[in-house]
Amino acid sequence: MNALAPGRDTDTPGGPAGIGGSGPADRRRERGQVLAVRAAAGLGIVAAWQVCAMALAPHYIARPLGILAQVPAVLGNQSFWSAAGSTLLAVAEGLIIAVVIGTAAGLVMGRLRDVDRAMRLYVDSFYAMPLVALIPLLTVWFGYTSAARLVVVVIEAMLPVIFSVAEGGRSLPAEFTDVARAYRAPWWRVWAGIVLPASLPYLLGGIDLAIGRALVGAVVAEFIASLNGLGYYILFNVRSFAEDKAMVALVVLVMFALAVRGFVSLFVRRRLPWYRDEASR
Amino acid sequence: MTQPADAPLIRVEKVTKKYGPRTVLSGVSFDVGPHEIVSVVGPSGCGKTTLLRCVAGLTEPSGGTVSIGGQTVTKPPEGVGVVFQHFGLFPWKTVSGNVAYGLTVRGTPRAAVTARVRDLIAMVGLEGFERSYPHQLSGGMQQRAGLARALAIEPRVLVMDEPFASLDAQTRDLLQLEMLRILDQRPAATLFVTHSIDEAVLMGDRIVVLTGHPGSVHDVVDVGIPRPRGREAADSDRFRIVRDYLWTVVMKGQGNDNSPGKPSEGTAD
Repeated sequence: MNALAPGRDTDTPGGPAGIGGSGPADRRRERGQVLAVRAAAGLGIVAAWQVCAMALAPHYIARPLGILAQVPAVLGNQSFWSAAGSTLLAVAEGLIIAVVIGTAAGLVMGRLRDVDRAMRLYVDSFYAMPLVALIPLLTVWFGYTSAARLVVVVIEAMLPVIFSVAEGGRSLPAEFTDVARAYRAPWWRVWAGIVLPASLPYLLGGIDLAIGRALVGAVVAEFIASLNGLGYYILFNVRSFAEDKAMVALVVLVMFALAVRGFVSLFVRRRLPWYRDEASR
Repeated sequence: MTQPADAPLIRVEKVTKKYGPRTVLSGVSFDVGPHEIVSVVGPSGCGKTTLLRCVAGLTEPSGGTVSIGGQTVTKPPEGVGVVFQHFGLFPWKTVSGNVAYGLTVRGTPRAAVTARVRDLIAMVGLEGFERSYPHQLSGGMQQRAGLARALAIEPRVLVMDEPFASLDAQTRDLLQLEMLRILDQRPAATLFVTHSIDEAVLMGDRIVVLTGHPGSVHDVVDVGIPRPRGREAADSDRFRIVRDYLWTVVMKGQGNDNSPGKPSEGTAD
C-alpha cells in the first residue's frame, strides 16, 4: 500500500536531524538523483519497446512514437472526451458510494463481534472471487446500461474498503476505549471521536486498493456491455488496428489512477502525520 | 503525620474478581483517605491492575464492593482521573486536545476548557508543546500529558496504573518528585499501582501489599514519612526500614523465601 508505507520521506516537520549530512540541500540532491535514475530507466524501456516494435512487429502494434503521434488526434476528439468522462465519472461515483457503504459496514463488522462472526466468511469469499466473472450476470440483471457498470464499480470498490475498515475496527487498541470509558465519554463520542479517526488510516489503505479494482470493473463492464467509455474505446480501437489510439486512452486511465492515489497519499502526509510516524515505531 | 483527617473517600470492601474459573482477586479490602496516596505493590500477576480497574469502574468486581464518596462504583464515576501505563494519548489529537479530553466529553464550554488546559500544561511543564502530537514527544512528556489530562477534570480520585513503568530511570525519578509536588498542591485520593517497591515507598502515605494467586491483601503498611517529600526522603532511615520489610514480604509472596523472618539478600533490583 504505497500511499501509507511509513516513509523515509523527509517532509515532516521535526524530521531526522542532520546526522551524516542529511540537510535540506542533501535531500534535494538525493531526490534529484532518484528522479534522474527513474527518468533514465523509463526512457530505456520506452526506447527498447520502440526498437523491438519497429524491427519485429506488424505496423499496427502499438509503439511509443506512434502513440505520441496519435495524442493530438485523440485528445482533440470530442467522442474521446465523452468516453473518458463517462468512465471516470462512473468510477468516481462508484468509489464514493462504495466508501460510504463500505466504511459503515466495516465499522459494524470491526466493532460488533457477532456481526463479524456472521459476515466474515461471505466478505472473505467475495473478496477472493474474481468479480469480473460476475459481470455477464450483472449485465443481464441491469441491462447493457451504465447502471450495470456502476454496480460493478461499487461492488469491486466496496470489498477492500469493508475489509480494511473492519481490520481497523478490530485493531483498535483497548487502551483507547478504556480512556474513553474512564472519562465517561458518551457512546457516540466513542464512535465519532475514537473509532473513526483510528480507522482512518485503514480506510485510506482500503481506498488505495479499491481504485485499482474499480477501474478494472468499469473497463470490463464496458467491454462486455459495449458501453460508451474508455474501456470500450480501447477495445474498439484495438479491433480496428488502431492500437496507438487505444494506448493513449490507456495512459489516461493510468494517470487517473495515479492521480487519485497520489491525492490519497498527499492527504495522509498532510492530515495524518501521526499515522506515518506511529506506523514506523 | 499522614493519617486521613476525613472519612475515607475510596472504600474497597472484600473485592473479588473471577474470570471464569480463574480467581484473580480475593477478598481485597482497604481504604483511601481524600488526600492520601496509597501505593499498591505486589508480584506480577497478583491482580494489581484488575484492582485498579475495579476502583476506576472499568471492570466490575465479581464479589464485594468499591465505593467512592459513599456511592458504589459499577461504572466509571464522576471525578476519577485515570493515568495509564502506556499513556493512552490519542495520536490524532494534539497535546492540548488530549489534555482537554476529559473536559470536552462532558461538554464543558470552550473558554473554560482552554483556560484550564493552559494552566495544566504549565503545571506539568509542557509549555510550547500545546500543538504537538504525541508521536513527536518523548515518553516522559507523553506521560506528563497523560497526567495533565487526569488532573484537568479536577478529580477527587486519581487512579494510576504503573504510570512511570514505561519511562527510563531518570525520567521516572524526575516525574515521581513532580507528581508528589503536584499532589501536594492539588490533593486527591490517589491509588497508585507499581512494581517498584522503592517507588511505592517514596510515593505512598500507606502501602497495600498484595500477594499470592489470587491476589489478597497481605498487609497494609504505614510509610510514616511526612509530606512534602523531596529526594532526601529516599535516604531516610524510615524509608530503608519500610523498603526492606516490603522486600521480604513481596519476595515471600512470590514463593522465593520459605522461612519467615529470614532477612532479604538485598540484591539490587
